[in-house]
Amino acid sequence: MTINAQTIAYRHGDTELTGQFAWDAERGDQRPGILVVHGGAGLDSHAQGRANRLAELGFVVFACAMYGRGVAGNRERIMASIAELRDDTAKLCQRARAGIDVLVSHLPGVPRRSGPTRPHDAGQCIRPRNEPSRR
Amino acid sequence: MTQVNAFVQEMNQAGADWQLAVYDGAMHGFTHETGPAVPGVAYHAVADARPATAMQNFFSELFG
Repeated sequence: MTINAQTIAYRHGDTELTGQFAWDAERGDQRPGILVVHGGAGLDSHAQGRANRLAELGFVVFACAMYGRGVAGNRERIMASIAELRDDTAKLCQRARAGIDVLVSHLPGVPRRSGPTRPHDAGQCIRPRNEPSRR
Repeated sequence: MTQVNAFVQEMNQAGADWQLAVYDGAMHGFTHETGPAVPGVAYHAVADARPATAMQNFFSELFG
């Protein structure tokens, strides 16, 4: 097993985001993709570590970014970003959806490209208020 | 538990497939080994390990 990590730059609208892929480079078979969404601190070593753990289980993992450039590490900017996304659940979903789009575009295995991806205006991966996910 | 009960009610009303796990002694950031040393935030090894196992079971259910 060889867990590789690759940083990917992408966008959600005008917001520049940087996420990180993790995958087992020794596997070339199709396998599920998992999106890791970081906690309040941003995409830090904790979230990256969780992504690596999931990659060790055989998944292709993308640890996405919910905050734009210059936010992580700055408490005031973090709190402002949390408030912005908490108050606009559509934007919250779209931000996560942008991460899913990056993940899906790179499945099943080794990331094929890096760079901005086109923005998207729909998302369902995080439950908006009053709109639970269904099977 | 008021918010939890409201969440349960919301899920039931939506007909969602859901489950709820509660870990005693777990505080905010309970899976973060190197979280900030502030009141109300603490790593909790048991509460870190159990949901990790539950997550793997969930993935097995989803992906086979």
